[in-house]
Amino acid sequence: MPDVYNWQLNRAMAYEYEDSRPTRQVSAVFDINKCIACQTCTMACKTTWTSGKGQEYMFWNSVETKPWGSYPLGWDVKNLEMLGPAAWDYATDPPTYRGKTLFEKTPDGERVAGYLPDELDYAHPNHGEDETSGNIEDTPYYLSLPHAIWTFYLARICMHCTYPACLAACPRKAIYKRKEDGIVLIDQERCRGYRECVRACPYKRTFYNHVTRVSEKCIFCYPAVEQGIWPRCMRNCIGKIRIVGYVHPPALSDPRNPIDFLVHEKKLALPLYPQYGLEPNIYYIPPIHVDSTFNRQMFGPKAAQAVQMYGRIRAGLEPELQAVLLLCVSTDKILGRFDLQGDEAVGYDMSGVEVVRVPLQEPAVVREPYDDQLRVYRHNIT
Amino acid sequence: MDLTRRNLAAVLLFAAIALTALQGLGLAPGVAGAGTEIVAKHVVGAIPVADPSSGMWREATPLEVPLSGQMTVEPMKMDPSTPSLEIRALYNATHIAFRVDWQDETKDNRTINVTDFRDALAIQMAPPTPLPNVCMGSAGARLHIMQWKADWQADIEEGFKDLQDAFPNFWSDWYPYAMGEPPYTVPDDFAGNASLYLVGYTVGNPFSQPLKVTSVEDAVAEGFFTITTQVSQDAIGRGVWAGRNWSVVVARPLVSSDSADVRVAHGNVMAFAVWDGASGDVGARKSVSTWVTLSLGPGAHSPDVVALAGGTAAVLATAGVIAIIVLRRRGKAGRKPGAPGGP
Repeated sequence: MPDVYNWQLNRAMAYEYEDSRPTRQVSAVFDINKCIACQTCTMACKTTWTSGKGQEYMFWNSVETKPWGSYPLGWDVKNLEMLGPAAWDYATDPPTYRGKTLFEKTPDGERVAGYLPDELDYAHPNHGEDETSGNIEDTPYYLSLPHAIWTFYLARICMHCTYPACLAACPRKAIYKRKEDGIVLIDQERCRGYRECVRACPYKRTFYNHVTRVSEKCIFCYPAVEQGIWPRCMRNCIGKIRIVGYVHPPALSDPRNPIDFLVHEKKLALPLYPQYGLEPNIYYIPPIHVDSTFNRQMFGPKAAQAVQMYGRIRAGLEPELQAVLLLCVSTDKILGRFDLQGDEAVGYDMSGVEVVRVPLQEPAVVREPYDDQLRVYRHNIT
Repeated sequence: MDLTRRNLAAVLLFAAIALTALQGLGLAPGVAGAGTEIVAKHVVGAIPVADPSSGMWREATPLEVPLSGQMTVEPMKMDPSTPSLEIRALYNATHIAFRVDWQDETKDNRTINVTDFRDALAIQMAPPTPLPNVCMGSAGARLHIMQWKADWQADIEEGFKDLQDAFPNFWSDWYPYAMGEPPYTVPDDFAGNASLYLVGYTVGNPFSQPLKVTSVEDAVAEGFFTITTQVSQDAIGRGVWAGRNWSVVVARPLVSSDSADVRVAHGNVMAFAVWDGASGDVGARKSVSTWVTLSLGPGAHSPDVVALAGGTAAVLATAGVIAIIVLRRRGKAGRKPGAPGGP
C-alpha cells in the first residue's frame, strides 16, 4: 500500500491508492451547539433523493442523539472496538496519532477493516432519541452547571473523505472522487452490488438499495454545488447550524476562506473520528457542555481548545469568528472569501462577487417591560 | 480358458485401454476424474439446457475440478466455500453447454437485504495463447465470462423479488409519481418520472433490471475490475438445487456474431468460479479453479464417419495388440519357477 499524508493525524498513513487530492474540496462545518434534531435536513434530503422504493430506511442525512443514538445501530462503537485504544502524541504540535487507522488495521486478505451492518441495524434511524447519558432526577447534578448529565445531536452526511474507505474497498472501481470538487460518487452503471463499500465505510454512509440491488450514497447535491448553491440539507437547516464551502490542507490554508478560517486558523471546527484515518471533510464545532473525554474521543485531541474558543466568541473576543458564523448562515451561496468591514461582515462567492452583507449585531429597540400609559406589561420588548 | 488372475488382469487391462480410447473419441461416457481437460460430447439435436437432470448429461464425461479460495487480489477468500466442481459438457451443431455440479447446503437466491448474497457460478473461456491471467484476464488477453446467478433465475421463474417479498408487512402509501396501489409493483407502477427514483434501473444497470431475460450474464473482462456486461446477451442457463446440491447448466452459441464473444474452439482454456451466498461470497470473495482445457469430442468437427470408424478400429486394434503383448509377457514371467502367482 502507498503512503499518503493525512494532516488530521499529522503523519503519513497507508492507503489503497497514491495521494491525489482534488483541485478543491467541498466541505461543511456543523455547529453541534445549535442543532435541535428537528430532522428538517433529513427530510430535505429524503424528499429530494431517497424517496424511491427500496430506499425506505436509507438516510443519506440523519441526526442521531448522542451518546446512545446511532444509525445504523452502533456504527461508531463497533469501529472504535475494531481500532482498539488509540493514542495521540501531544509532544508534537499538532498532536500526532500513534494508533492505527482502519487502513492500517486491515486483516489479511481485506482492503479496509470494516463490518457489514445487519438489516435490522437500519431499522431505527433515530434510536436513542432524546436519551441523555444518565438519569437526571436522582443525581446531585440535577439542574446544576456545568452539566454532568448531557446529550447532543449529531447531524451526519457522507464525509466526502480525502481518503474514502468506500473507494478503496470497491474492487470494481465503481466509486470515484471528482477532481473538480472532491465529491465522492458511486457510478450507478458500474456498481454490481458487492457492498464492499457498505462494509468498509466506517461512517456507514453508503447504502444498499433493496430494489435496484446496487449501492447508493450522498452526492453532496452536486447539481446545486456546480451552480454555487448549497446542498439541500444545508439550505433547509432551520437551526442554521451548517456552513458550506471549500477546505484546503493546512499548508495551503487561506485565512479569508470561511472554512479554512474555522478549521485551520481558529481550529474551532474539528473532524469526526479522525483516528479512522479517512481525513473526513465535514467538520464539527464540538458541543460545549459535553464530557471532555467523550468529546476528545469523537473529535480528536483539539476538542477542549475548540470548546474554549467557542466561549471566546460569546465573550466578544473573536469578532472575525462571529462574522464568519453570521455570514455563512445568511446565504445559500457557497462563499470563497469573507471580510469584516467595521461592524459588518461581508461574504463573496467563488468568483469574488459580494453576495451577502450582515451587521455583527442586528439593530434592536428595547422598550420598557411595563407600559405606564396602558398600565400593562409588554410581552415583547425588542 | 480358465479365468486365472493373470487372464483377468489382461482382460481388465484391455477393457481399460479400449474404454479410454472410446472415451477419448467421445464414443463412451466417462467417470468423474481429476484432470485438466473437459471433453465436450457431441450430440445430435437439442441439448437439455433447462433440465440439468436429463439423462443426456450422463453421456458426457465428467471432470472433477478442485477449487481454492481467491487469493490473488483483495478482498480475498482464504478458504474455498466449495471444495470442488463436477463438470460435463455437451455440444451440438449450434451450441455448447456445460453442466456444473457442486455441494451447497443452502439455496441463496435473494439479494434484497443488505446481508443477502447470491449463489452463483462463473465460467470463463479464452483462447490458449496468449494465456490470460486466470483471474479476470489481462489487458490484450480478453476473457469471455458467463455468470449464472441464482437470484436472476428466481426473478425470471418466480417473478421479480420485490421489497414486499423480504418485508411482507411493510407499508408505504406513496412514492413520487408512482401509479397504482400499495405496495406498488416494480417496474409497472414506476413509469416516467417515478423511475428516476430507481436510479440503477433508469441508467440501465443490468443488476437493477427487474425484468430479466436470462439468468446468465454474458460478459467480458481484460483484468481486475474490468468485467463488463456485453451489449449482446447470448448465454442462457438454468440451475436446480436439490439434495443440498446445485446442478447448473450454462450454454452459449458455438459461433456468435458478437465480437465480444470468444470463439468456441478445441483447445480453449476455461476456468470456473463459485459463490456461496450463505458464506458471504460476493465479487472477489469466491472459490476458483485453475485453467482447464476444452476438448471438443468428435462430432460436428469431424463429420467423416468412415474416418471416425477407421480411427476407432485402429485405436481398438492398437489397444488389443498392446494387451496381447502385455498378457504374453506376464504369462512368461508367471511360468518362471518360484515366481509369485505361478501355477
